[in-house]
Amino acid sequence: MASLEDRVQLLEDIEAIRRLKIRYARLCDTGYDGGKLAALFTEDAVWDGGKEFGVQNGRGAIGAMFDDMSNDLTFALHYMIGHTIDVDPSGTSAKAHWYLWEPMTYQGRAILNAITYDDEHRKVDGEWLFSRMALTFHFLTPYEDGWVKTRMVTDG
Amino acid sequence: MDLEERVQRLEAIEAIRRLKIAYARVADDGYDGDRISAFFTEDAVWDGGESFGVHRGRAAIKALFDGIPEQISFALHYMVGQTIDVDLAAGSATGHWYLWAPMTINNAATLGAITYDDEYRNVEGTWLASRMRVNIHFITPYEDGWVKTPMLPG
Repeated sequence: MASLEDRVQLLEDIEAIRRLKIRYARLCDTGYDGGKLAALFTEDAVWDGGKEFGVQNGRGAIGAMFDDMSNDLTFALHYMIGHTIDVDPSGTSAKAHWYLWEPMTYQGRAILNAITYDDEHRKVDGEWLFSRMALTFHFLTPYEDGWVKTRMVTDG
Repeated sequence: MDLEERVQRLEAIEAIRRLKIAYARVADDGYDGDRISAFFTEDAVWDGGESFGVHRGRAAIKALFDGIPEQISFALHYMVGQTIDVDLAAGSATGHWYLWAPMTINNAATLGAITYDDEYRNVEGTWLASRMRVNIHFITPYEDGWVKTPMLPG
């Protein structure tokens, strides 16, 4: 069995990674500041929004994407829920899965967004960062429609 | 309480929390009965009350979940707000959870609000659910809302 020190370290790493994701959510919900959000990612990080929202490579591209986001996305609440965090035995990398429930206002319309995330993390100078964030969209629907009538508003 | 026990308690809480999320993820991935029943003890009870019935034993729980996709073609189980109490000496625990579940039932967008009263046992080092009581607050057609239609008919 791992030492007590190692076991506590694992619990602390899980909590630190959980907090990182909540910090990401809070920065999104307070205006998508590109500089602050980019600082949560490694220099070589990838933000993968799939075919709907594209792939951003590197901290600079990720920051620029977020700086543009608040033009159309004027309100959002990121409810980050149900994390599964697996820390590598090395203690310097990790993988995480999250659920997101997100009511938002996009171009003046109420939208409900349901996403799951597959994230990868690296510990850089003692701090956990995102090295990859991959989004799976389950639905992105106008509030008036619901996900059976309009699963993805981007299809319309 | 000594440090070893305090860490064990935190580890148990995290393991049980993960168990519930694993249950949610398998449910959302098509309700595979074999995979989902493996989260339960052999003698476990899944108690869905009047709406979903009481299912006793791992085999009955597997059969229940294998039948669910006929009606529920899509679901996301947002498991929230857990309260987990662990009895380390007994190797048992209880849990209370909130669930928010957007679903597609019989091809209609549906919202489910549920709370769970769970019981868990540590079986050879692995935490499993020994009882899951499902309290349904509403399961409503998305277009209706829970005041107009608190519970889907049937």
